[in-house]
Amino acid sequence: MENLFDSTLFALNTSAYLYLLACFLYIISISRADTLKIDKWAKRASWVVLVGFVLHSLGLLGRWWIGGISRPPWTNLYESLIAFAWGVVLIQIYVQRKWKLPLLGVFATPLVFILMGMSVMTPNKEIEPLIPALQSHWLKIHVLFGLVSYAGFTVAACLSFLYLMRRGVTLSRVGTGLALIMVLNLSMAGGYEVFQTGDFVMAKTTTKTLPSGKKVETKDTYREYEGGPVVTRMEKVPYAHIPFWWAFVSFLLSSVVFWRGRRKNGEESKESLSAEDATRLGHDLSPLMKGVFASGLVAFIALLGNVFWAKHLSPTLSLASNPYLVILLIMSFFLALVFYIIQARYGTFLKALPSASRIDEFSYKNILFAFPFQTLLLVTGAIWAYGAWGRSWGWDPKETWALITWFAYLIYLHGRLLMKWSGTLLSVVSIIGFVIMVFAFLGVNLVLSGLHSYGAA
Amino acid sequence: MQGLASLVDRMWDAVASVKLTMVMLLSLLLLSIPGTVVMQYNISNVDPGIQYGYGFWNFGTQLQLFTAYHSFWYVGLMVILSLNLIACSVNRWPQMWKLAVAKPVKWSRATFGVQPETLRFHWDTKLTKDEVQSLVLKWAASPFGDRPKVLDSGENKVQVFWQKGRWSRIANYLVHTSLLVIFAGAIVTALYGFEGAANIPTGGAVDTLIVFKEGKESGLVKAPGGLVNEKLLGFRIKVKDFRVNFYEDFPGRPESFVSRLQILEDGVPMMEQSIRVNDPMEYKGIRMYQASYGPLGDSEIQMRIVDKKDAVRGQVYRKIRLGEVLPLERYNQSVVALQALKDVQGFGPGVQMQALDGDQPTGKPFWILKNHPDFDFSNRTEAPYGIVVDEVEELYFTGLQIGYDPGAPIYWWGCFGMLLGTFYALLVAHRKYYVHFEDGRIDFAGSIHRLPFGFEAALAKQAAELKELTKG
Repeated sequence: MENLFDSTLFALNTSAYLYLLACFLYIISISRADTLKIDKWAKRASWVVLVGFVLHSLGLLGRWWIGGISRPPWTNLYESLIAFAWGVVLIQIYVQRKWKLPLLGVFATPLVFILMGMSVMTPNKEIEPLIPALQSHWLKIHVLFGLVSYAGFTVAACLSFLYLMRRGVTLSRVGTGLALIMVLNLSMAGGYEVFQTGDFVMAKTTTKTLPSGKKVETKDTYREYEGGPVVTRMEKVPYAHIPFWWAFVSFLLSSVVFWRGRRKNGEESKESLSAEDATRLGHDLSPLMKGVFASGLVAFIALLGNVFWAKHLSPTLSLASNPYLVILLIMSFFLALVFYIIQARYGTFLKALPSASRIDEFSYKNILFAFPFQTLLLVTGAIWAYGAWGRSWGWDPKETWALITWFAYLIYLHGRLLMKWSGTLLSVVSIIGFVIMVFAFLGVNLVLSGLHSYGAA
Repeated sequence: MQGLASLVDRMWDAVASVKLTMVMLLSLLLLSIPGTVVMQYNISNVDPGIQYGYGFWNFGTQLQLFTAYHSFWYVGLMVILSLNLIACSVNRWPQMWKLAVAKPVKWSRATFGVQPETLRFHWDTKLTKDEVQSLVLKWAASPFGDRPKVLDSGENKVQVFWQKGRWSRIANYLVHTSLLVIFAGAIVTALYGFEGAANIPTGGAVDTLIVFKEGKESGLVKAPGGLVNEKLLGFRIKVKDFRVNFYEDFPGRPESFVSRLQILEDGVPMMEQSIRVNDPMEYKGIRMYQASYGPLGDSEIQMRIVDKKDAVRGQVYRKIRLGEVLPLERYNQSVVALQALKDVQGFGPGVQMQALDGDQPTGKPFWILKNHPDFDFSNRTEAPYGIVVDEVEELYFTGLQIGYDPGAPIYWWGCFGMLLGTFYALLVAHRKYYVHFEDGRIDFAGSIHRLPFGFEAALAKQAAELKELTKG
């Protein structure tokens, strides 16, 4: 058993690295100058994703085998991340093959890697037996419906994003949004402390013994009083405040510069872009825009370096105790890198995509598929809660956020069927719905407290 | 009078507007958020007044922020949404119904397949009119969908029509009606149901509950907060036994907790059953759920008093609780257990005891270690007896949730209808098919009212199949 357990860990970790490799192959793909080569590299990346998916599935199956039939591999944060990522890859592969859209991976695979990266860095990977509240057949059914619908919404959001690009959104507009996302991510990475004291801090590391006797490095937490909230001890990372504020100011500035110099979207109404149109769209960035953004990117690399070598700057700091911070920074860096490459080759990238209305259809179809399962998620959740907690609906944060996600996609469906909204507006709704869904899936457990807290680390 | 009629008309139009639906949905989305961020009044939460301080508490109480989902603004939104839903449904019904039950239109070859969403195929055949008719009627028959019909028949001419999924035109009515049914169930539960908790020690019994929300039921006692009340059950719940089992390899991780409950009415036992998490019991419509457990701060200790001179015959077995005085007549003394620890400085479980002379303590408190039975004998050399602890069992209370949910059957039917309707409305579309035979040529056409994905390919496949069948 011990051997099998180690093998599953190896398979799951390897699949995470394969997804990372695929991300880089996708980057190579979109940096090629002609559409045939884009397609070729994207297909290579898709093969790597497929190999990763096989290992991923074996790892999950192995965990299910070890834990026994009544303990499916989605009972804690580590497994939820892996199972959710698995669902996304499954739908991604299906969509890529069925609708001949290998470039979906440019946005889907980084998302999958973020989830898998978070799982690799989660300290507790043990297969622990179920606490009484989870000993129910609904655990299998309810969570499975959740995985299906959330994975469907995720792929739909990636497609919506592709749609927006295909419709010819000018890069200055994309850049404004991206720069703001970077500012938001930096703020989250810095936390309250960076705005209070100006210092960039990370969670202090301590060694904890798991119930099984294994020792893991994790963040140092304590309670100030009995029943009080768990507080994490923080420590300043030497020198890190310099690149942090540099990057923060650069991205804030670049959002302003991008917005002020934005071009009108004359091409929005065109179904298919001509090569000249697409090339023009790609070259709407002024040297000032590129310069300020690049300055932020350089500062960002410095900040990443600071975080990765924190252990050498202070012995009580390590990456293991700051998994989400590290993943957040890597994700932001990756986004900025993709943007930088796309701006150089925007025309060819757009030409390699199917027509906008096709992509819109794909995205709509994913939501049509996912929405009934989201409804099932809510109903089976209510049935389970009725049997376990004595009430079918209790406005627990997790329940409420799943309902909020449901409302978001209700707006999408009614906007589409009754209001005949434009594809652009619908895509924006789909992406907002996705952000809400991610919060319902992860944010609630990590940020808010409630009855579903066994999902937290 | 005409002014009034037009006012009513305009109001109706405002309530029945689709834009209102969108605004309501967006508002519901946004106004669902504060209740997940701001602490809600709840039996297990600290009082929001303590959490946030007076200023914010006062502000939040005015806005009903701490009871967000029962507040006037949230309930108001639900009411407006329901009215809007009813008005929209009524407005659109005649049109929708007509589309679902419409008689098929007879097509001529000239108009065959002119609608934009219609696809058309044609090929030549050597078969006669009757052969084509019987073949197509047989081929098109399916357990799902209507029986194929002959729309037009003449000399050397026949038109067959069939359709599938036409009820998906009005499946949204099932979804929306079900939503209203769920609301109705929730209202019944809110008005006539209750939901409460009781922590009961093993052997104890209760006949009152702490309830989370007020119902119309009588017997409520107002608490200062106004929301936490006591409620008389009408019967007693006695906990005959309660056990927590832990996983052996994972200390501190509970495997199961089980309560043996007995229902007593006027002292007469009516029912007895064991409940565990995910497996409740029901008595007179009131359901009892195993929710939690906690330490009672008491332990049951099994011990032996061993005479030092006659260790074999002078052993007395006793079972005591913490704080209980155990008289030892033989030695003119008594002992009392002060505390029990799971681990005494690395020596394992132990009980701290005190010897008493009458009411007064005599000597210092001393420890009895379960895993080191001879420790007491060497520790208290002057005492004529030694104490051996065989078992220390920590006592727990069982945490029950007790609820009466009269709306449940209503909203479960609503949920069922909503699921059925959602799947049908979103994944099925209304498809119409025509086969037209005239002078040795067959035309095949199909249309779909929405969701054209994959329809094109599926129809081409069907056309190929039909062509193979009717080539002659």
